[in-house]
Amino acid sequence: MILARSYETIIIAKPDFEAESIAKLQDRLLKAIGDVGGVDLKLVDWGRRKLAYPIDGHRKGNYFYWGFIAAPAALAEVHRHLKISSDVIRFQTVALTESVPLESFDVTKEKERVEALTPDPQDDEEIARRDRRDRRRRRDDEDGDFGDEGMMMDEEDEG
Amino acid sequence: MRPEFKRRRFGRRKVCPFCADKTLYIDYKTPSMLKRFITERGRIVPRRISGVCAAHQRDLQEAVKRARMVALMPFSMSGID
Ligand SMILES: [Zn+2]
Repeated sequence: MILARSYETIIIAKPDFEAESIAKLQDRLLKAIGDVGGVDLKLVDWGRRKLAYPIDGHRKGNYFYWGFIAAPAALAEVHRHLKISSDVIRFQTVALTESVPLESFDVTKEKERVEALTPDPQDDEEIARRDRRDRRRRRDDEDGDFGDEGMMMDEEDEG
Repeated sequence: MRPEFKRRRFGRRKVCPFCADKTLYIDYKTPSMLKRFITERGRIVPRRISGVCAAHQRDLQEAVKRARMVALMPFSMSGID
């Protein structure tokens, strides 16, 4: 019996990555979980985003979101490939579920889970724009560093 | 070394925004939402000011830590949190 968990991995590729080598990397990752134990759930290309701080001299990165089910050995193999890829400048994996037998996973349910966890970057941009506007408006009213008002959750967030 | 934002002109927030609205999900992948709980210098707002409960403050800290690792948020400029 193989135990596995659902994971999500954020992969940041160089902004000028080679489409071909990323495609090859993707094949290797899929092969890793296919061979060693796991299921591919969802891969999303978030596109280029400005990095909050430079990584290896890059100010922008191309973000990928990957949701998958993997046994520990498969995850290790995934990480090994990400580490040796010259196109990947950073990655981070977060476990979404506890460890359960691989065959007990409801793949449809897991797909829905990662679907719900994948925010639309457009939404995020929209929230950021509104926040910037609100902050400007606040700055006009007061000179404080931040007031409680700044922490108000007065807008609806989806997801 | 704390600046003078101690004077609370807006009064204390009594209700944790995440307890008040169960649909708000703390996720490291939505940095815009997290930024509401971050000072301009990139530090997490203390919960005595934000009113966030202890459990949700822990989730918030975890999310901010993860968001920083994938450069969705900056590290605090003072270097300490
Ligand atoms: Zn709370």
